[in-house]
Amino acid sequence: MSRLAVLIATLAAALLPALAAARLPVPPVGTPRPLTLTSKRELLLGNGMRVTFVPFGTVPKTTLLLTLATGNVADGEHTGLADVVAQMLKLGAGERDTGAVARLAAEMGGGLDISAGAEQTTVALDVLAEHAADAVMLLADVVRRPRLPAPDLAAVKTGMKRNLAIARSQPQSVAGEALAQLLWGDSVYGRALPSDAQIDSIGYRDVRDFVGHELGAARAHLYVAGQFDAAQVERALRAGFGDWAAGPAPRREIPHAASHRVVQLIDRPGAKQSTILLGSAVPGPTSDGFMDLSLANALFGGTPLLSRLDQNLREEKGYTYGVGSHLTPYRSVAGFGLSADVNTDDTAAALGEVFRELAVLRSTEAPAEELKRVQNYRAGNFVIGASSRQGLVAQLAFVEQQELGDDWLTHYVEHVQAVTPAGVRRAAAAALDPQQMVMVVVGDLAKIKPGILALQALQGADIR
Amino acid sequence: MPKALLIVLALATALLAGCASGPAGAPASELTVPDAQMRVPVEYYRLRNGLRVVLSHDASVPTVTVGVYYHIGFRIEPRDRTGFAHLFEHLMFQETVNLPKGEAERIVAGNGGVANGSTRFDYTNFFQAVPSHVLQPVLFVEAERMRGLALTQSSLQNQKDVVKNEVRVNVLNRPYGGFPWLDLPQVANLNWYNAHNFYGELQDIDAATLADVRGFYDTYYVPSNAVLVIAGDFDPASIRDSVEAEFGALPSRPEPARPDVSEPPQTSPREARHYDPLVPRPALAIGYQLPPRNTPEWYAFALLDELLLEGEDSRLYRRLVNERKYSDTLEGGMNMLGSMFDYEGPGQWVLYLIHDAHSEPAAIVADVDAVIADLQRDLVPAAELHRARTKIRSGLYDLAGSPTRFGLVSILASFALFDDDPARINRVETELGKVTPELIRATARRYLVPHNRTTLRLVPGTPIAGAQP
Repeated sequence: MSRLAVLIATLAAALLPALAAARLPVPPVGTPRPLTLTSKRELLLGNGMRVTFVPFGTVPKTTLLLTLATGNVADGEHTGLADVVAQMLKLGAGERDTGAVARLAAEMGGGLDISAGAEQTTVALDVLAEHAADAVMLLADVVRRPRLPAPDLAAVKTGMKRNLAIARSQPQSVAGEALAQLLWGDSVYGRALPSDAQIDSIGYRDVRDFVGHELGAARAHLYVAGQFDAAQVERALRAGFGDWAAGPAPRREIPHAASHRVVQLIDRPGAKQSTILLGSAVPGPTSDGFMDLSLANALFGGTPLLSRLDQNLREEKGYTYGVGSHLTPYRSVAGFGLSADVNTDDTAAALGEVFRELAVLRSTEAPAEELKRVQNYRAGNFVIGASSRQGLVAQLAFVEQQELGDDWLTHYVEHVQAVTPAGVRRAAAAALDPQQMVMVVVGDLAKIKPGILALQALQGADIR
Repeated sequence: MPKALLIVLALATALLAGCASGPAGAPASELTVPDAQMRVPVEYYRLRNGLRVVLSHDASVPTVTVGVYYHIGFRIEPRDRTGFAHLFEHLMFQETVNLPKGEAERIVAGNGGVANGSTRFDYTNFFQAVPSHVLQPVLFVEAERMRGLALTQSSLQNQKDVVKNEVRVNVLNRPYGGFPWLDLPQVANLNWYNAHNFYGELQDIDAATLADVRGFYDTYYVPSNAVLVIAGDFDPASIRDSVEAEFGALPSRPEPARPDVSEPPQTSPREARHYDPLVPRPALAIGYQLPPRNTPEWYAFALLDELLLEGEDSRLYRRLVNERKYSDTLEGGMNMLGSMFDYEGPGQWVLYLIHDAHSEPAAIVADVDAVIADLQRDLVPAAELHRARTKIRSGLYDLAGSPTRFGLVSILASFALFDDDPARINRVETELGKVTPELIRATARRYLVPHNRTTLRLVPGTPIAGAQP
């Protein structure tokens, strides 16, 4: 029995009432019901491939997620290569061409989903339980015997360029690309969108070499969650993956942040709103005090409906439909980010409120009951996340990729609930310094630039 | 049949035994039928004030989902107040007589729940998934919304600003933002109720008054026009008392009259072009009027949708994406804002794609016609039809297995509001099972024809004087 089970059992008890007085009394919350979750089982194949089984749920379906510890980090000079490879992997495997693979997946009740990230390429397939073993064999074919039809490469590249053009028409993507570059420089995390020239430079040999050199058992972890016949699935995975060459060790790249504080203003004449992004490098989940910082983010802008930014910018001022902040972990480092699309005429006022709320967060301890609500939200969402096959698998894969260990999950709720107002203030003061943040605003500069330049919080910044 | 499925079925059957409204014609012997079907426990009744209540018990995880659906969607709103139904949805999250602004969120999210609301063609909904011990306060929140919305000028002004920013971020400042979900109904339909701007013109949103808001609330947000769905982990012995305690005392109000939203039968093709200087690539949407809900042809359309459009094994994906390479994705379906089960109609079956400038829309339409012509000429092979049914079955299981159960709640609520029969959910597979290859062909021949079609092109740039509409 894994300790994964324990985490859910303790979770319900950790949810404490957070009700305020009202004229007609709000009924009290009841007694949390304990829950026992299934155990997980892990398997290490002789070639280094890891497998995790999670029997779970009440419906006869199985989720398979194969993670491969490589991605855009292996692009080299061909930014976007890993994404092209992900597309090419769908175009037939073993004896089956593209259509036959799609038909087989559909006959199992699912569809192949392949995508590439900075350090991880994932192959996912969700099927009816009776087909779980066959689905494992299909995944093995896809990553070990892809057909990579050379004539289709041109269309894949054209499709990528189409999608990049669409992305660049969206102010949020334009801002995101600029912010990533400012924050993470030339590392893989700084290259958000490839250029057309970079896509054009990708040749068939690059695709073949990527598949030949980057994929292997030592980089692979297969998660199987849901209802399935474990013995059958195990036989299938030994048959499908047992003799796969180990290949190289997992790729890992910790980003290094640019330290220069820059504000970049990008003109979008006539824009009805300004797209604001703010970001900085902060300590990651393997660092001490990360949970304090995580709750600081939750209070600030990381909790829909409850966060201070949402209450202020949306529910009081009406400047925006939505504002949020988030932490994106890269092991010892994380990216803190804030995003908002605000009414053009309210741009400077909205930014002023963002910096004011940030100052309050860093200088003043939050009321305990406010923190408690955000802690409960985190704990409750964790349980809802763990209540689905995909959610469970995502949590396990996250912990694996971030090198956090199962303890991170088993003690998650406990650690969330242990955070104090003093800890939140300390973490915010240390890590969320506006003087260390980079900022991008995409909007109608003729209307918004004077107000932005006049903001007290931006005096002394390098404004471009 | 997998053992696990047997357990699910046995559980559902046991729960159904004591229910007020079980699925008609679902004898125990169905448990031995090899091609087993999904079974959802459904208990259905009405309070004295007319509020419909659907209970679906499942204690496998300690969370419960509460949804309140009102039978008022964005089709039906005052003519000079486009976007009003959606604006009103926002006001339902503001203060009530007994809960100050923000308190509902503090109760739901502050106790670990996730919550939202949405406005769709035929309903407006409010839903939350919470740890099950928070059920009673959540019922209080929903009862408060129904019995005592405060409706203040300051909240109205604030939410007008928020909603205008929502329209800006999702449509006005977002290339492709209204394509085609907002744009296509306006050119495909003739009846104003189906053909206006559902999100709303900004000046209409600005024009809304407190009197408008109070009138709308008093007319549509009444127990007889709503359904409460509780799905998940609750105490079956006491749940009816809990519901009665919160909702039973709400006064009875007449069910609002519904305007005629029917669409005249289409007799000739409709075509339109929209221009947008900010879109970098053209896009094409094609819509066909759907048969009325719950008819054999409508069920046949569910299979046509799977055969033609859903998944990378579908015929249109194979032709348009794999062979012609017009795009790398193809989207659409029977309801652009939900599933085939949670709209009341009239509706369109839609497919759309963003393509490159050198691909002629006429050529894409010709390819669509050729794929459809195959289905109009030849009966669909048995293996392909089986695959389509498998995809549907797989999707239905995910409704029941979802951690938030929002999809399941939406179907139960829709079947209660539209058909007064939420237990229909357990007969859907049977109805789909009755669809024959002959009916699929006949439906394609009758509905997937040019005179029943609307084509909408989104063109980069600005219109040239004298160009075709």
